[in-house]
Amino acid sequence: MSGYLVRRALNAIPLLLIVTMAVFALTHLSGDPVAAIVGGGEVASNPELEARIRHDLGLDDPLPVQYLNWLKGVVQGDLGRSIQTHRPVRETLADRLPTTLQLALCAWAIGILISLPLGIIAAVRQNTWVDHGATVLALSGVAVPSFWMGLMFILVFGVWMGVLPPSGFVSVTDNPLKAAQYLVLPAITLGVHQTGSLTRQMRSAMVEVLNQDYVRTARAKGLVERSVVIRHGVRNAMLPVLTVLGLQAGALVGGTVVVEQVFAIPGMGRLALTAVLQHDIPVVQGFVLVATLAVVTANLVTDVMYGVLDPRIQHGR
Amino acid sequence: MPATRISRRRALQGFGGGAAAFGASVLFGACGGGDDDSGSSSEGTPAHADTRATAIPSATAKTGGTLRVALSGDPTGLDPSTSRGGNDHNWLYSIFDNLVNNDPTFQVSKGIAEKWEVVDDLTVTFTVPASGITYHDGTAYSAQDIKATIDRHLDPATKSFAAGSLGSVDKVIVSDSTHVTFKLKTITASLFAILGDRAGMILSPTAVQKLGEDFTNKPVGSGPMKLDNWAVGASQKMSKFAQYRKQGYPYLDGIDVQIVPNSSVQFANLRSGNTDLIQLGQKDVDAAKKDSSVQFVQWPSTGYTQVNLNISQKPLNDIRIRQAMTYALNRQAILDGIYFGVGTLANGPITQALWAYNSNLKPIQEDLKKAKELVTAAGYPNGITFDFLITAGEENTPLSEMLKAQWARVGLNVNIVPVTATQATTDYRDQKYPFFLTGFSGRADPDLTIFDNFHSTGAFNRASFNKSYTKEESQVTLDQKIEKARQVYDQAQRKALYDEIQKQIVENAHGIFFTHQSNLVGLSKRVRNFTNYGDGKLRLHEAWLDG
Repeated sequence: MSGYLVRRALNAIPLLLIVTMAVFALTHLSGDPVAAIVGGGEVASNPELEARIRHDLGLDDPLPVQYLNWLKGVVQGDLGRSIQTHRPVRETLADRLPTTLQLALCAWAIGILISLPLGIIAAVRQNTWVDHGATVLALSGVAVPSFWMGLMFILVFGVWMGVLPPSGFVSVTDNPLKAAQYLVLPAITLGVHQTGSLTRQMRSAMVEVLNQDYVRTARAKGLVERSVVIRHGVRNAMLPVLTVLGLQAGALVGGTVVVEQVFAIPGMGRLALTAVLQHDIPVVQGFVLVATLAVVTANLVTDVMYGVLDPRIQHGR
Repeated sequence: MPATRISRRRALQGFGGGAAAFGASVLFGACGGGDDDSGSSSEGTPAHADTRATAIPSATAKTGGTLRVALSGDPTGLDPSTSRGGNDHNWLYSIFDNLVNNDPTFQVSKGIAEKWEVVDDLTVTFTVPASGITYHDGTAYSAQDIKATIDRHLDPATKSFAAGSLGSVDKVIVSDSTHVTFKLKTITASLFAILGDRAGMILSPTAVQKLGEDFTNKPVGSGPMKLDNWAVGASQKMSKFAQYRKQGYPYLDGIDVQIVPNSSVQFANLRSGNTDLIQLGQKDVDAAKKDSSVQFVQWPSTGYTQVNLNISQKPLNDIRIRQAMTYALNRQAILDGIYFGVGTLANGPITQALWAYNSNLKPIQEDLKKAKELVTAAGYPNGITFDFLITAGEENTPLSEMLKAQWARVGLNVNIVPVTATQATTDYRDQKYPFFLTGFSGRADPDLTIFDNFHSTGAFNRASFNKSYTKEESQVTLDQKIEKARQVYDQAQRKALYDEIQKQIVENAHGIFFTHQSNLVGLSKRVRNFTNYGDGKLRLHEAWLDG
């Protein structure tokens, strides 16, 4: 197993290089970072000042040299400084990562708690109004844009009912109760968005499993239906669902961009959005590095989980 | 010219509060009292201001409490030299003391300097305290710090964005412990407005030296509030500076700024009682007026909406095309359809917020017949098609569509090119497009708006980046007028010159203006003594909380 993990980790290196190189080139192609610094301001600039800024930031070097300089820093654990805030990128990411992790984990849990039961019920009551209702419910979570859903939640629970804060963030480590109050609306907004594919995947996997011979045998043995569904159905249907869950971990990183913006949560998503708009290349690169690592890790964990759920799958051979 | 000298001395010698100004009493009927630098006259209240005074249970200012503010984004930095964003002042004015201030009508008023005098055309002297001012790091102020601050801006190594506005300053001399003299290379009528902005914010030299590049994240001034914490993208916490030079101020114990990017969410926070102060969007004005749980104040802004023209490029190098573009517009439809009727129709680049506003100049009326004639006369009887650069966004996208439709009526067909802000800035600078949809926030002095935007060498005039630009006749005469106006200290004389300049800019379509904006602020019921400035930048040292 350890050999497998090492191989997977090594496989991730070319992926990280390709992704960061592509993002680096695209960020440069879509505008001049110095224009983002001086153009975003209200004060008048001049070519001399712009040239000095460009030189000091190393932006007058050829692009491959700039990328290699960045890479050299990364190898030494230095992600550079933001060209907008002058703060170390590593510190900035370290500040934001826990916030996004809290949001993403809560959203992921909410997505699972809604989708799996819904998918199972839909499969067990296949082609009944319960099945159709569950499908409509799950798909509406995907169909409604998360920014709109977020704003509606804020209006209903924050303004009209006044039971939850409209926006902001408190860390679980600072005040768990307050943290829950602040997290509930954004986590539901983000989590509900995950339910469509997960519910459909769970349902179709369950339908397939429930039609297998071993399930028929279990029923013939006289096992109660709950036991048939949970012990023989759910466990065997989980493999394809697990794949979707792994993929969704990556999608959650993207989803946080919108939800963090709407709910004013100072996480990685908002950081990335701001950095992209401001052409803050070191921050964009740092974010891409962390996000790619997160997706790679989520997929690795998913692959390892296959082995746990199905002992026939063995890694490292 | 002795007569002129007497006149400008009268105009510019300040004794604190002497300049025409209005205070918070205009807005709320309450006044902080005490050593009031900002004055309290209500003279000059623009006609369309909605003061909506709120009943005050107590006229006496109360101390204590933390004001919760929601703003849409972080400052670009908190070093007055290297920061560059228009919103930065929402923090900077609390953290730093200025040498002089701009009062709400943009007249010079007391800051650290108690008096000032234009000694001759190229010499301005400020009378400052010898001591008695402490910085947030506990170090003591001296008059030398004023020179150090200006010298730092002027040092190219600082990469100061304020250096451009101080370009006419030759040197600063500390004559003695209470007098600081600015020696100028040219007459600089806007000097006081410049020093009331970021260039005149006095820094702790000890902290500057100690913190280096990190000063922008840990600013140290002598203002009423000190920065305790800045969580980028999340919040800034400021607390009362007990040793602030003005006794009794500030009233607030602290200011907590939360960064809330979405204006609808900001408004939701105000309505639900989770914040005390927001800068409202036009779309929320009606709801704010109807909501009895919030206060709403509106004041003319220095800002205007427009298209920024590069008149060195085809087809805008033809005055007739530009004039056709301005006559083809129905500004009332733009004001109502895009800006929810909030603001006024623009008659030029100077708004009611400034003393240089030309009230005799009327907004250009829609005249499709004249516009069509101009297009034909320019040699395009079948119309012309050209590109129109915009930054895609909630407001710009529908506005650009409306402009496109209005111009198409007279044969001016534009292809809208929507890109990101940075891409637009890059492309426009690089002469790829003849005009760009971007507003301008306006400045505290007309020269700072007019020169940079409409002089052929102005920093915001992208024609100045065009190496092959041959100036048209109107530009030559406009340049001469703009140069003259910036070299006259007497405000009455300047006003006459700017009246003429605005007329020429509008009639010869050096700019195409749509509306003059309003600064819209929503407050919780407990906020008192807040003054809404035309530049939209928050000054909170006189605000207090009732409950």
